Amino acid sequence: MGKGKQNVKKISRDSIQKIAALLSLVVLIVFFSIAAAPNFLAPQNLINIMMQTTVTGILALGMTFVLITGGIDLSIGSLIAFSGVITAVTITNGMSPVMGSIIGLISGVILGIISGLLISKGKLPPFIATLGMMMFARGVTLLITEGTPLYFQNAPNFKYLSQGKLGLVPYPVIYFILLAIVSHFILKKTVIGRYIFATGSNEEAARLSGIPVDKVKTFVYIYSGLFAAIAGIILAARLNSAQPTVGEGYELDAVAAAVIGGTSLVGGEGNNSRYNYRCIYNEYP
Amino acid sequence: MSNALELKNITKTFPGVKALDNMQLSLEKGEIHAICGENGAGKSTLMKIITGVYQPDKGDIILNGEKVTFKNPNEAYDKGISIIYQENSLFPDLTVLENMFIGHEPTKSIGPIKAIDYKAMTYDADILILDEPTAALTNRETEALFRIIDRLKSEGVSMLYISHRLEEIFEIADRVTVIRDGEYVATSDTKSVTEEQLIAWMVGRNVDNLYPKFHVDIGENVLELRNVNQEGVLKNINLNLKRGEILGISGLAGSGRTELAEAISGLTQIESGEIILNGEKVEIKDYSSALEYGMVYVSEDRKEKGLVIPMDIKENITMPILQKLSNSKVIDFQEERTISNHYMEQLSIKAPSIDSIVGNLSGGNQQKVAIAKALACKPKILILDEPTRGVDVGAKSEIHRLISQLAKEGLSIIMVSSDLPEILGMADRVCVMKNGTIVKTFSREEATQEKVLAVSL
Repeated sequence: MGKGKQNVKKISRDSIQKIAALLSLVVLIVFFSIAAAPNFLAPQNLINIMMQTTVTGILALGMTFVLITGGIDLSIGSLIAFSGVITAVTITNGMSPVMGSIIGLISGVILGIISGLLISKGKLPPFIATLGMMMFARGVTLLITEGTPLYFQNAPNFKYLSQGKLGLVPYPVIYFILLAIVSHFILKKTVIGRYIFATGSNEEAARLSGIPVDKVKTFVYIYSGLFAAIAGIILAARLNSAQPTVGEGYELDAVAAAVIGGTSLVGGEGNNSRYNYRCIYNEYP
Repeated sequence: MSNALELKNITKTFPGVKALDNMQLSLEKGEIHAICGENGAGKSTLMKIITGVYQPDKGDIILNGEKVTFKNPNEAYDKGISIIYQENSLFPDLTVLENMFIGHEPTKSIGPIKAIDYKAMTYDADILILDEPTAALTNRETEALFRIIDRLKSEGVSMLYISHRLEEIFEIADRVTVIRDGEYVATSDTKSVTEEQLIAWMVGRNVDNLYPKFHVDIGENVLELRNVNQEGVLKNINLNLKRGEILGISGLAGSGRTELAEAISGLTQIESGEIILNGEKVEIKDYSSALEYGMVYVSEDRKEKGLVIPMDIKENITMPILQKLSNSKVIDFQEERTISNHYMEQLSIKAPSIDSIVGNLSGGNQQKVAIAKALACKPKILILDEPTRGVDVGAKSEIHRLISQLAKEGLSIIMVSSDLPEILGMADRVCVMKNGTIVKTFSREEATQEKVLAVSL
């Protein structure tokens, strides 16, 4: 009786949220292209916007996983700088750009593991644990670099990781799309994805279903750390330098992007199929 | 006495469903009038019509002798009709009673409510509707609520009281009206009607066999507990469970019933003693290892612990077996549907499909999903904690039949329950707990309500 009606109501509320975000994006595009900047719709400008949103977008992909479990990862802004600097240090010390990037990624994963274990095993609130990690990673980054940028002088090709293009499309945009597809697949089609939703909706019930809740929670911080490292390396290649102060405040952009896209801050709900416009939207509010 | 409220020939149709058909009801001034019916009988729709949330397609609402129509809830409220909904988990940090009265502080600010302060609460209504008010209350809170109800009654407030708990209806209500499938069945004084009669009215047939118990050839010992202790909780527990047996665990609230069930299923750790499974001593480190040994626990708290309410039926049923349902970590959605449909059919879960959100199901169907989820693990030992709490009479009897059937198929079942008739009706043996220890074990033949109560107290 009343139930059918409730469903209808719920669906329409969901779609209103979807439509509202998309609609306001359209409004903004129309506004910018007509009133503010006549060249807004020029291909080069659109590509620039895409470029600028890839870093936030990739961070938001990782953040979505964390938010669905009901957590938050404040460390990703610092992790960008940290992983970029680790990559730069290894490359400038003679390793190949590929090895340097892999070590950069591993460094992000390791910090993600630490955050994850502090939260799942140490029972620290995610806010506190990742706030600590944010300060720790930033501190170490500043210590290593002594506050000055590192340049990739002995690896002139490294910058093409971000500055190269496939036709008109810059590589980072392609990375982002691939990562979004992977994230979507994990969330919707795999066992761990289902576990992430269950943990975020009702941790106690998830545990009583035999779900290894601690492992699930650790996993999302590792995933978020890995994605932050990917974003950090992309950014370093784009700037052709590792900046120790880069990424400050990015974690909140990522949260905003994830929430605008439909992820709940209290956990249990989330989706990253709507990223493509979500991050673009976030660049122009 | 004159009628405070009268409903005549109320009909309400929703697309595809006739929710109410020629419903009638009369509420006298200062009367407590209970409304009984299974889930889906139309109680909520009826209440929504009285409070102006819905408008009837046909029929009259007569308030104090005057025909009225309510276009919205505010109009009903202005005429002195108030409702306390069963929704009570809105503010988890407030007590249930505080939640019930939130937004209903019309005359006085009541501040943080404590048991003694209930006296201070006044209700500015002539007609008050209480929808399952005690579903989530502790015994003490229930008593407090009943005192409030008594006081309101003495002030001349008329009340409609909806509850699944028949004993409450007999305790508190003056009259009772039974509805079934949207139709009026009967109204009677509570003094001149029996519980059996009420149930028969509600389900539309005589429930002559309320506790369907099949004959089972009970097999060998599968589980044994020897001198199990848990500091301050469990003392010297000895029990054994045989194949095909239903072992009832009875006792008052706080006697350690649930704690025992949780200790057996590895949710808490025992400090000393032995747990012997199929003749071998085992150590149950956590719930996962209990699952590996074939023991599954169905929690008494299905909303918080048993099920993930915002997820759908199939996701809940397959949650514990998802690993087995996957090829290299990718879920086999086809297999998931097959398994879920199988259990949906076996347990006759009433829902539009396996994609229905569990939170939208009735209590009885939620409980069936919780049991389906346990069965999906293919357990050898099933530990059921309050398997029929908050479940309506019809679904209750279906769940009992299912439990009997499972025992017949060779499952060993531990059933913890505070519902004595249920324990006596279903269990082969009854362990009675008190202060964390088993004080007596009765065979099915020996056990009577009086004997069990006598050792519980």
